[in-house]
Amino acid sequence: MAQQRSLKNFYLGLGAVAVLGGGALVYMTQRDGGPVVLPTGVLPVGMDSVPPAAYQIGSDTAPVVVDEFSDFECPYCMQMSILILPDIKRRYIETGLVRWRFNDFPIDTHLTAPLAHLAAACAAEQNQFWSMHDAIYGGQGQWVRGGARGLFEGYARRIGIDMNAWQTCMSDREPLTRIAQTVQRGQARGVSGTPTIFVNGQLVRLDRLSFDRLASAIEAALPR
Amino acid sequence: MTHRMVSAVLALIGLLLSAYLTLWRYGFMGPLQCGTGGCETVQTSEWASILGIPVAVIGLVGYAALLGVSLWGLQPRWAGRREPTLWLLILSGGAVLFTLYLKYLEAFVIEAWCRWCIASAVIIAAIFVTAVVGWRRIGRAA
Repeated sequence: MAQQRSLKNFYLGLGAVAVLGGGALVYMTQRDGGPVVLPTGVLPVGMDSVPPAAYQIGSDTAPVVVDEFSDFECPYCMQMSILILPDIKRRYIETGLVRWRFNDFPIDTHLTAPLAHLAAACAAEQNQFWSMHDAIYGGQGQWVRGGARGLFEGYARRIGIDMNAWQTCMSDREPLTRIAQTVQRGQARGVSGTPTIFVNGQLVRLDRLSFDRLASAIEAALPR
Repeated sequence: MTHRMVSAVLALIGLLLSAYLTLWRYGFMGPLQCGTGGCETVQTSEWASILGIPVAVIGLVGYAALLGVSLWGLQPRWAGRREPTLWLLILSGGAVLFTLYLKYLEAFVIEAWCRWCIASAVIIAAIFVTAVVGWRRIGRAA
Protein backbone atom coordinates (compact mmCIF):
# COMPACT_ATOMS: atom_id res chain seq x y z
CA MET A 1 0.00 0.00 0.00
CA ALA A 2 2.76 2.38 1.04
CA GLN A 3 4.70 1.41 -2.06
CA GLN A 4 1.71 2.16 -4.28
CA ARG A 5 1.33 5.56 -2.65
CA SER A 6 5.00 6.37 -3.17
CA LEU A 7 4.73 5.26 -6.81
CA LYS A 8 1.69 7.50 -7.27
CA ASN A 9 3.58 10.44 -5.76
CA PHE A 10 6.50 9.68 -8.03
CA TYR A 11 4.28 9.74 -11.14
CA LEU A 12 2.77 13.03 -10.00
CA GLY A 13 6.26 14.51 -9.57
CA LEU A 14 7.43 13.17 -12.93
CA GLY A 15 4.29 14.56 -14.58
CA ALA A 16 4.95 17.93 -12.98
CA VAL A 17 8.52 17.99 -14.37
CA ALA A 18 7.17 17.02 -17.82
CA VAL A 19 4.49 19.73 -17.74
CA LEU A 20 6.91 22.39 -16.49
CA GLY A 21 9.66 21.47 -18.95
CA GLY A 22 7.26 21.03 -21.87
CA GLY A 23 5.58 24.33 -20.98
CA ALA A 24 8.96 26.09 -20.95
CA LEU A 25 9.73 24.72 -24.43
CA VAL A 26 6.32 25.80 -25.76
CA TYR A 27 6.84 29.23 -24.20
CA MET A 28 10.26 29.57 -25.84
CA THR A 29 8.97 28.65 -29.30
CA GLN A 30 5.93 30.92 -28.92
CA ARG A 31 8.10 33.78 -27.71
CA ASP A 32 9.84 33.62 -31.07
CA GLY A 33 6.52 33.46 -32.89
CA GLY A 34 6.15 29.68 -32.90
CA PRO A 35 7.14 27.30 -35.67
CA VAL A 36 6.74 28.69 -39.18
CA VAL A 37 4.43 26.37 -41.10
CA LEU A 38 2.42 26.90 -44.23
CA PRO A 39 -1.26 27.60 -43.66
CA THR A 40 -3.66 24.92 -44.83
CA GLY A 41 -7.01 25.45 -46.47
CA VAL A 42 -6.00 28.68 -48.22
CA LEU A 43 -7.89 29.66 -51.34
CA PRO A 44 -6.25 28.30 -54.48
CA VAL A 45 -4.99 30.69 -57.10
CA GLY A 46 -5.32 30.31 -60.85
CA MET A 47 -2.67 28.33 -62.69
CA ASP A 48 -1.90 31.37 -64.80
CA SER A 49 -1.04 33.61 -61.82
CA VAL A 50 2.57 34.74 -61.64
CA PRO A 51 5.02 35.28 -58.80
CA PRO A 52 5.45 38.81 -57.40
CA ALA A 53 7.53 41.22 -59.48
CA ALA A 54 10.35 41.04 -56.95
CA TYR A 55 10.72 37.32 -57.66
CA GLN A 56 11.42 37.88 -61.35
CA ILE A 57 14.54 38.86 -63.22
CA GLY A 58 14.89 39.69 -66.89
CA SER A 59 13.08 41.77 -69.43
CA ASP A 60 9.27 41.98 -69.51
CA THR A 61 9.49 41.48 -73.26
CA ALA A 62 11.80 38.45 -73.17
CA PRO A 63 10.56 35.79 -75.61
CA VAL A 64 11.19 32.94 -73.15
CA VAL A 65 9.76 32.71 -69.66
CA VAL A 66 11.32 30.19 -67.29
CA ASP A 67 9.38 29.22 -64.16
CA GLU A 68 11.48 27.62 -61.46
CA PHE A 69 9.69 25.86 -58.60
CA SER A 70 12.25 25.59 -55.84
CA ASP A 71 12.69 24.80 -52.18
CA PHE A 72 15.33 26.71 -50.22
CA GLU A 73 16.20 23.60 -48.22
CA CYS A 74 16.68 21.39 -51.28
CA PRO A 75 20.36 20.72 -52.12
CA TYR A 76 19.69 20.36 -55.88
CA CYS A 77 17.94 23.75 -55.88
CA MET A 78 21.02 25.16 -54.17
CA GLN A 79 23.19 23.69 -56.95
CA MET A 80 20.86 25.17 -59.54
CA SER A 81 21.07 28.56 -57.88
CA ILE A 82 24.84 28.61 -57.36
CA LEU A 83 26.21 26.59 -60.28
CA ILE A 84 23.72 27.05 -63.12
CA LEU A 85 21.68 30.23 -62.66
CA PRO A 86 24.67 32.62 -62.83
CA ASP A 87 25.58 31.29 -66.31
CA ILE A 88 21.93 31.38 -67.44
CA LYS A 89 21.80 34.95 -66.19
CA ARG A 90 24.86 36.03 -68.18
CA ARG A 91 23.90 34.26 -71.37
CA TYR A 92 20.12 34.58 -71.53
CA ILE A 93 18.67 36.87 -68.86
CA GLU A 94 21.01 39.85 -69.18
CA THR A 95 20.75 39.63 -72.97
CA GLY A 96 16.97 40.03 -72.82
CA LEU A 97 16.17 36.54 -74.03
CA VAL A 98 14.81 35.05 -70.81
CA ARG A 99 12.60 36.19 -67.99
CA TRP A 100 13.26 33.99 -64.93
CA ARG A 101 10.57 33.57 -62.28
CA PHE A 102 11.15 31.99 -58.90
CA ASN A 103 8.17 30.11 -57.46
CA ASP A 104 8.12 29.06 -53.81
CA PHE A 105 7.78 25.31 -53.38
CA PRO A 106 8.83 24.36 -49.83
CA ILE A 107 8.54 20.59 -49.51
CA ASP A 108 6.54 19.18 -46.58
CA THR A 109 9.39 17.13 -45.16
CA HIS A 110 11.77 20.11 -45.06
CA LEU A 111 10.82 21.56 -41.71
CA THR A 112 12.94 24.72 -41.95
CA ALA A 113 11.97 25.53 -45.54
CA PRO A 114 8.83 27.59 -44.73
CA LEU A 115 10.95 29.84 -42.52
CA ALA A 116 13.49 30.29 -45.33
CA HIS A 117 10.78 31.13 -47.88
CA LEU A 118 9.23 33.57 -45.42
CA ALA A 119 12.61 35.26 -44.87
CA ALA A 120 13.03 35.71 -48.63
CA ALA A 121 9.43 36.92 -49.06
CA CYS A 122 9.95 39.53 -46.35
CA ALA A 123 13.14 40.65 -48.10
CA ALA A 124 11.15 40.86 -51.35
CA GLU A 125 8.94 43.49 -49.75
CA GLN A 126 12.04 45.68 -49.81
CA ASN A 127 13.03 44.58 -53.30
CA GLN A 128 15.84 42.45 -51.91
CA PHE A 129 14.49 39.04 -52.83
CA TRP A 130 17.41 38.00 -55.02
CA SER A 131 20.05 39.12 -52.53
CA MET A 132 18.28 37.10 -49.85
CA HIS A 133 17.80 34.20 -52.28
CA ASP A 134 21.56 34.11 -52.91
CA ALA A 135 22.38 34.44 -49.20
CA ILE A 136 19.98 31.65 -48.19
CA TYR A 137 21.26 29.24 -50.83
CA GLY A 138 24.86 30.27 -50.17
CA GLY A 139 24.43 29.54 -46.46
CA GLN A 140 22.28 26.41 -46.88
CA GLY A 141 25.08 24.13 -45.69
CA GLN A 142 25.12 25.99 -42.40
CA TRP A 143 21.48 26.84 -41.59
CA VAL A 144 20.16 23.36 -42.34
CA ARG A 145 22.22 22.27 -39.33
CA GLY A 146 20.38 24.64 -37.02
CA GLY A 147 19.98 28.22 -35.89
CA ALA A 148 18.22 29.26 -39.10
CA ARG A 149 16.38 32.16 -37.51
CA GLY A 150 19.53 33.84 -36.26
CA LEU A 151 21.40 33.18 -39.51
CA PHE A 152 18.61 34.61 -41.71
CA GLU A 153 18.57 37.69 -39.51
CA GLY A 154 22.32 38.01 -40.09
CA TYR A 155 21.84 37.73 -43.87
CA ALA A 156 19.13 40.42 -43.80
CA ARG A 157 21.38 42.73 -41.81
CA ARG A 158 24.34 42.10 -44.13
CA ILE A 159 22.24 42.83 -47.21
CA GLY A 160 21.23 46.18 -45.72
CA ILE A 161 17.55 45.45 -45.25
CA ASP A 162 15.46 47.69 -42.99
CA MET A 163 15.44 45.33 -40.03
CA ASN A 164 12.36 46.75 -38.32
CA ALA A 165 10.18 46.23 -41.39
CA TRP A 166 11.69 42.78 -42.02
CA GLN A 167 11.14 41.68 -38.43
CA THR A 168 7.55 42.92 -38.53
CA CYS A 169 6.96 40.91 -41.69
CA MET A 170 8.60 37.84 -40.11
CA SER A 171 6.26 38.18 -37.10
CA ASP A 172 3.08 38.91 -39.09
CA ARG A 173 3.90 36.09 -41.53
CA GLU A 174 1.51 37.50 -44.11
CA PRO A 175 3.46 36.13 -47.11
CA LEU A 176 2.85 32.54 -45.94
CA THR A 177 -0.63 32.52 -47.49
CA ARG A 178 0.77 33.50 -50.87
CA ILE A 179 3.58 30.93 -50.52
CA ALA A 180 0.99 28.22 -49.80
CA GLN A 181 -0.98 29.33 -52.86
CA THR A 182 2.14 29.11 -55.01
CA VAL A 183 2.69 25.56 -53.77
CA GLN A 184 -0.91 24.72 -54.73
CA ARG A 185 -0.37 26.24 -58.15
CA GLY A 186 2.75 24.16 -58.61
CA GLN A 187 0.95 20.99 -57.54
CA ALA A 188 -1.85 21.77 -60.00
CA ARG A 189 0.81 21.97 -62.73
CA GLY A 190 2.22 18.62 -61.73
CA VAL A 191 5.17 19.75 -59.61
CA SER A 192 6.05 17.10 -57.05
CA GLY A 193 9.77 17.64 -56.50
CA THR A 194 12.31 20.39 -56.74
CA PRO A 195 13.74 21.99 -58.71
CA THR A 196 11.06 21.78 -61.39
CA ILE A 197 11.48 23.96 -64.43
CA PHE A 198 8.93 25.10 -66.99
CA VAL A 199 10.14 26.81 -70.16
CA ASN A 200 7.31 28.79 -71.75
CA GLY A 201 4.90 26.65 -69.79
CA GLN A 202 6.43 23.34 -70.89
CA LEU A 203 7.86 21.06 -68.23
CA VAL A 204 11.56 20.38 -68.76
CA ARG A 205 12.74 16.97 -67.63
CA LEU A 206 15.90 17.51 -65.63
CA ASP A 207 17.05 13.98 -64.99
CA ARG A 208 20.52 15.35 -64.59
CA LEU A 209 20.88 18.95 -63.47
CA SER A 210 23.17 20.72 -65.91
CA PHE A 211 23.59 24.04 -67.65
CA ASP A 212 23.63 22.32 -71.05
CA ARG A 213 20.31 20.56 -70.49
CA LEU A 214 18.61 23.77 -69.40
CA ALA A 215 20.28 25.88 -72.09
CA SER A 216 19.15 23.51 -74.83
CA ALA A 217 15.54 23.74 -73.57
CA ILE A 218 15.80 27.53 -73.64
CA GLU A 219 17.41 27.53 -77.10
CA ALA A 220 14.59 25.33 -78.39
CA ALA A 221 12.02 27.81 -77.11
CA LEU A 222 13.71 30.89 -78.61
CA PRO A 223 11.98 32.28 -81.71
CA ARG A 224 13.75 31.36 -84.97
CA MET B 1 12.78 0.27 -7.78
CA THR B 2 14.47 3.46 -6.64
CA HIS B 3 17.14 3.33 -9.33
CA ARG B 4 14.44 3.14 -12.00
CA MET B 5 12.73 6.21 -10.53
CA VAL B 6 16.03 8.08 -10.63
CA SER B 7 16.73 7.01 -14.20
CA ALA B 8 13.19 7.99 -15.25
CA VAL B 9 13.65 11.52 -13.87
CA LEU B 10 17.09 11.85 -15.47
CA ALA B 11 15.82 10.51 -18.81
CA LEU B 12 12.93 12.99 -18.75
CA ILE B 13 15.34 15.87 -18.15
CA GLY B 14 17.53 14.59 -21.01
CA LEU B 15 14.47 14.27 -23.22
CA LEU B 16 13.50 17.91 -22.57
CA LEU B 17 17.08 19.02 -23.25
CA SER B 18 17.18 17.10 -26.54
CA ALA B 19 13.77 18.50 -27.48
CA TYR B 20 15.13 22.01 -26.95
CA LEU B 21 18.12 21.35 -29.25
CA THR B 22 15.86 19.63 -31.82
CA LEU B 23 13.43 22.57 -31.91
CA TRP B 24 16.38 24.93 -32.38
CA ARG B 25 17.79 22.65 -35.07
CA TYR B 26 14.64 23.02 -37.16
CA GLY B 27 14.44 26.80 -36.75
CA PHE B 28 11.50 26.72 -34.34
CA MET B 29 13.17 29.06 -31.86
CA GLY B 30 15.68 31.89 -31.75
CA PRO B 31 19.36 31.78 -30.76
CA LEU B 32 20.54 29.03 -28.42
CA GLN B 33 20.83 30.13 -24.80
CA CYS B 34 24.44 29.15 -24.37
CA GLY B 35 26.65 31.87 -22.97
CA THR B 36 29.94 31.03 -24.66
CA GLY B 37 28.68 30.70 -28.25
CA GLY B 38 30.29 27.28 -28.41
CA CYS B 39 26.87 25.62 -28.66
CA GLU B 40 26.17 27.05 -32.11
CA THR B 41 29.69 26.13 -33.27
CA VAL B 42 29.17 22.54 -32.17
CA GLN B 43 25.54 22.27 -33.27
CA THR B 44 26.19 23.65 -36.75
CA SER B 45 29.37 21.65 -37.30
CA GLU B 46 29.42 18.80 -39.79
CA TRP B 47 29.43 16.35 -36.87
CA ALA B 48 26.05 17.64 -35.62
CA SER B 49 24.43 15.00 -37.85
CA ILE B 50 25.29 11.35 -38.27
CA LEU B 51 24.16 9.66 -41.50
CA GLY B 52 21.90 12.66 -42.02
CA ILE B 53 20.22 12.31 -38.64
CA PRO B 54 20.77 15.26 -36.27
CA VAL B 55 22.50 14.24 -33.04
CA ALA B 56 19.76 16.13 -31.15
CA VAL B 57 17.15 13.83 -32.70
CA ILE B 58 19.25 10.77 -31.82
CA GLY B 59 19.32 12.09 -28.24
CA LEU B 60 15.57 12.61 -28.30
CA VAL B 61 14.95 9.00 -29.36
CA GLY B 62 17.55 7.64 -26.93
CA TYR B 63 16.18 9.47 -23.91
CA ALA B 64 12.62 8.52 -24.87
CA ALA B 65 13.73 4.87 -24.93
CA LEU B 66 15.44 5.21 -21.54
CA LEU B 67 12.34 6.87 -20.08
CA GLY B 68 10.15 4.13 -21.52
CA VAL B 69 12.33 1.35 -20.09
CA SER B 70 12.47 3.08 -16.68
CA LEU B 71 8.67 3.38 -16.55
CA TRP B 72 8.30 -0.21 -17.74
CA GLY B 73 10.53 -1.34 -14.89
CA LEU B 74 8.36 0.52 -12.39
CA GLN B 75 5.28 -1.54 -13.20
CA PRO B 76 4.54 -3.77 -10.17
CA ARG B 77 4.89 -7.05 -12.09
CA TRP B 78 8.35 -6.05 -13.32
CA ALA B 79 9.56 -4.44 -10.11
CA GLY B 80 11.60 -7.43 -8.90
CA ARG B 81 12.79 -8.51 -12.35
CA ARG B 82 16.24 -7.82 -13.76
CA GLU B 83 15.30 -7.35 -17.44
CA PRO B 84 14.38 -3.64 -17.27
CA THR B 85 17.63 -2.84 -15.46
CA LEU B 86 19.58 -4.92 -17.97
CA TRP B 87 18.05 -2.85 -20.79
CA LEU B 88 18.86 0.35 -18.90
CA LEU B 89 22.46 -0.86 -18.65
CA ILE B 90 22.68 -1.73 -22.35
CA LEU B 91 21.05 1.48 -23.60
CA SER B 92 22.87 3.85 -21.25
CA GLY B 93 26.17 1.97 -21.79
CA GLY B 94 25.85 2.46 -25.55
CA ALA B 95 24.88 6.08 -25.02
CA VAL B 96 27.93 6.66 -22.81
CA LEU B 97 30.23 5.30 -25.53
CA PHE B 98 28.50 7.49 -28.12
CA THR B 99 28.82 10.49 -25.78
CA LEU B 100 32.54 9.82 -25.29
CA TYR B 101 32.95 9.92 -29.07
CA LEU B 102 31.04 13.24 -29.21
CA LYS B 103 33.19 14.69 -26.40
CA TYR B 104 36.32 13.64 -28.29
CA LEU B 105 35.00 15.50 -31.35
CA GLU B 106 34.26 18.61 -29.29
CA ALA B 107 37.68 18.58 -27.65
CA PHE B 108 39.98 17.70 -30.53
CA VAL B 109 38.15 18.20 -33.81
CA ILE B 110 35.59 21.00 -33.44
CA GLU B 111 37.57 22.62 -30.60
CA ALA B 112 34.48 24.11 -29.00
CA TRP B 113 32.31 23.05 -26.10
CA CYS B 114 28.56 23.08 -25.99
CA ARG B 115 27.19 23.44 -22.48
CA TRP B 116 23.94 21.67 -23.36
CA CYS B 117 25.95 18.74 -24.72
CA ILE B 118 28.01 18.60 -21.52
CA ALA B 119 24.79 18.64 -19.49
CA SER B 120 23.53 15.73 -21.59
CA ALA B 121 26.83 13.85 -21.04
CA VAL B 122 26.46 14.27 -17.26
CA ILE B 123 22.85 13.04 -17.41
CA ILE B 124 23.68 9.95 -19.45
CA ALA B 125 26.66 9.12 -17.23
CA ALA B 126 24.40 9.45 -14.18
CA ILE B 127 21.81 7.12 -15.74
CA PHE B 128 24.55 4.57 -16.44
CA VAL B 129 25.89 4.75 -12.86
CA THR B 130 22.32 4.45 -11.54
CA ALA B 131 21.76 1.38 -13.72
CA VAL B 132 25.03 -0.21 -12.51
CA VAL B 133 24.09 0.39 -8.87
CA GLY B 134 20.58 -0.97 -9.51
CA TRP B 135 21.97 -4.04 -11.24
CA ARG B 136 24.24 -4.83 -8.31
CA ARG B 137 21.42 -4.36 -5.79
CA ILE B 138 19.08 -6.63 -7.70
CA GLY B 139 21.91 -9.16 -7.96
CA ARG B 140 22.43 -9.13 -4.19
CA ALA B 141 18.70 -9.41 -3.51
CA ALA B 142 18.31 -12.38 -5.86
